[in-house]
Amino acid sequence: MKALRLHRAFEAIWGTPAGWRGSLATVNHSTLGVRLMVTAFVFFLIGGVLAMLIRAQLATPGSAFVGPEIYNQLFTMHGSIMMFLFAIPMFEGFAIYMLPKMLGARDLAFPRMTAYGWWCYLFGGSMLLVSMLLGIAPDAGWFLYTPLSSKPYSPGINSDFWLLGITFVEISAIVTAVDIIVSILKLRAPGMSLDRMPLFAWYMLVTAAMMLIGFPPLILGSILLELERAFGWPFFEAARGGDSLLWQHLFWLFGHPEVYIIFLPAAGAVSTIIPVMARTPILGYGWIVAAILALGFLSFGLWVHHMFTVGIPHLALAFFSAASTLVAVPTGVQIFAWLGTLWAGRPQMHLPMLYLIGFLVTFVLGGLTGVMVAMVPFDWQAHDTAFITAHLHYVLVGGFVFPMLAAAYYWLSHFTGRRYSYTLGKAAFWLIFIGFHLTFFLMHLTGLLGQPRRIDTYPEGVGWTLYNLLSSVGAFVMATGIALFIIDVLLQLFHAPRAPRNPWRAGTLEWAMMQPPPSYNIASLPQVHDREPLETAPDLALSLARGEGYLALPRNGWRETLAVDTKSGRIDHIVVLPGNSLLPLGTALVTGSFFLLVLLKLYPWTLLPLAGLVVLGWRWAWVLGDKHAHGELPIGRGDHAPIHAEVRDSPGWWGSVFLSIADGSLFAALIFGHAYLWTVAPNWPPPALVTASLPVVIAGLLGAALAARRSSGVTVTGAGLGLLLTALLLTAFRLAPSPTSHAYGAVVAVLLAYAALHAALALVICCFARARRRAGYIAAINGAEPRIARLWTDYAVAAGAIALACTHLPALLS
Amino acid sequence: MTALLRAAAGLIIWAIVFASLYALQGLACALGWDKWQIAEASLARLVLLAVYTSGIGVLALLCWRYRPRVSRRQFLDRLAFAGAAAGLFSLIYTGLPVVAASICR
Repeated sequence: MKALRLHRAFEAIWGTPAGWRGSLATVNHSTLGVRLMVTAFVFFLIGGVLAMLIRAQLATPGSAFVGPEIYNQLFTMHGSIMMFLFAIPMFEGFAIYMLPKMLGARDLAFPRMTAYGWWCYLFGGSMLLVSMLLGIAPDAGWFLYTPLSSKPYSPGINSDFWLLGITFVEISAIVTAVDIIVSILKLRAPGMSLDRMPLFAWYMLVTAAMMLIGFPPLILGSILLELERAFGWPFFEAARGGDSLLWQHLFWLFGHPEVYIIFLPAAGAVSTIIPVMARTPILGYGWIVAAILALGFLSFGLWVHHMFTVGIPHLALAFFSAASTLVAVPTGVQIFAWLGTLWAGRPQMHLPMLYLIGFLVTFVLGGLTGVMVAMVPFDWQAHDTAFITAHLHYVLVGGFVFPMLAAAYYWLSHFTGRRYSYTLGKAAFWLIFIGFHLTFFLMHLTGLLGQPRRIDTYPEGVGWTLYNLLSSVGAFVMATGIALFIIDVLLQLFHAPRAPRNPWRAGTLEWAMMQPPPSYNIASLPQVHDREPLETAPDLALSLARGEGYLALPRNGWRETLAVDTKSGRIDHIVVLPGNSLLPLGTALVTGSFFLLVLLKLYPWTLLPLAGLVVLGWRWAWVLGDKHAHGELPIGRGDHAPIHAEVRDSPGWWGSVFLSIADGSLFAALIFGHAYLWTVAPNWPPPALVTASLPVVIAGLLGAALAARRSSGVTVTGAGLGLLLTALLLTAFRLAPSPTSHAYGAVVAVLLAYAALHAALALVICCFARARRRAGYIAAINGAEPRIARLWTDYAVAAGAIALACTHLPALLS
Repeated sequence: MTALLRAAAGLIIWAIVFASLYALQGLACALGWDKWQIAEASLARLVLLAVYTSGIGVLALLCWRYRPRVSRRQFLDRLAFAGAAAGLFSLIYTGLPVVAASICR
């Protein structure tokens, strides 16, 4: 009875109200995770239909099924949808749903950010779909190479849809990455030290960190290309000092880590499922964690292998060829750990295991062709042929789709509460597996026979006809398999009998709750003593439901969960999470209107949503917190802890730290672009540098020094930031050459705009912190808010000083 | 958080040295350092070799500092050593071309 009473009390606090308003305002991670996964799967189906159209076109030589203009849109949208609108959101949705449950928490660290990310993804993805329905979809390839995507060669609005839609979706990815990292590092069950964390959390920790570093270069590239297309700032135009290869660098700085960003979460699912299927603990936990870390770093040293044929010196080729082969080592460590686990245990051939075998076979083949194309001489032969198409599909379908299908069957009863009970899934597996290999194995051969990628047709008699026909047949077989999978899942959802709790007898915490889970996940938080808590305490779920863990008593209608010390898992403080709110939807709508106005080229009107974002951001932070201190509160089991508003390293602080890292990655990519153009691009030096002005530099640096002083009050800090901002604006509007005259002027303008924006932002944050302090909010007096304001002030100071140095120093020294 | 940074330290150093080698290669070619001969080697190669060997030295020191000891049996200590060793091996392997490959062709 106690369990039922607790369930009702927690549902009243954590639940989503019925009706459309509740649906729009919900911030619950389970609801949002499922929404993301369902939407991503819909995009997968749309991308799949596009693939069918591509294969229909290529099935026979000289096909007139679609013309080249539509065909260009088909393959561009297929790639863009699968990479940006399916793969990334699918694993994000899975992580959003699953991580808090695995970690023994009640939600993620920033529930409103989770909701904001979901709305941004939905709106950004919809923009791209609308473009497709209107027949003006992006058509310059999923990597949108310049100069093909530049204004002279793509004068329509097609590429703008890609640049703005994808950037909108990337915002969602960045906020989700911050949410995931902070949740993993702080919001775990008491006692869950880092070495007791489930492997999936390690995988997601590294993946999310990679997203913070890897996505900003693409966001920057998209901003620069949109500026070039809209205003003629020539970042990528060789005649005016730009370089189209800069786009390739920025794109692949994102694009190659992206492959591992997609693979690692899937590998996390594999590492979770295999030991359960093999009925034995995972072999080499520590080795796997070390391999994940190594993969996370090494994957950033490979991006130039996409550019082996652009004419770079041998030394650079050798660096990136070496790194590309080296990355096989940590990947191999994981594969051997999985094989060793299977060897050590007694593998049971359930359906998830079947898909995992499909994964192992397919992914290893993709990895081997990856080592082949890492060799420069081979890559020169195979580059831009169907061989590469085959390789990337082996890696991505093998490394992501097969594990995700395994995960779908493994966790299906968690989502639905239903037991797996039909055999359609096996037929679906064999159709997908055979269809996939028929399609893509043959593409290796057509590639080696010389068939280029992205061609809309080919002549008869060059030896590609039969292979292409069989590839197309294979694609339709695979599509039939996917259709069977959907039917199977729907059958499970509506007709299968109720599942027992923890049907696989797994040891991780996500099975220590009702299925499907309630809105609050667990009525009380467990004390964790090992990596598989359910293995040692099979009745843990019942004990938690009865409230025998932490935070078992609902208090003040608060949504409470615990934050722990990152390393040891010792209890640190109580996090009181915000409730349902329409703010995320409103903020996403305003963000979307900004992108829409840019797309429609109504530039002066974009000031409105920008102002709206400042107001909403202010409101977003203002509604949190309390005006009186609570001190140490009881949390059960005789322990006490303060709430997050009264500690200095609250999740908000850590969120700011990780957001500033993503911001720093964008700034570093901008500095890299500046240096790259200066040293490598043709038509340099520029006709005119910034007119050097020592007084402006001194004033700016003086402002930076004032703002950086720890002992300064808000007024002095604000004055310092104001002085820095003035110096930056004076340089931009009075001393810098026109941004349209030469790439130098364009880069200088962006550098100064970036620094000025951050100085202005820091000013707003300082004003906010002061207003909160005056209003008597505890978080602004004893909590993390002054620290957060200091962080962004320091960041703005550093960015401003660097921007001033980069713009004035060359002129001062010349 | 410091323990996590220690675990990643070796790989962070690898990333910095690897990026520096690539950047210096571009800079050396832009400034014509490959044409300045000092003894048998060009200035470009000497600079690259200096960065390469310094990086190896730093990572070797890190490996020594994080070496497994009786007092360091915790998971994150072992992870820090593994990270440093991975960084060292990665740098030796990925930076090796500076010894022989042509720099600006």
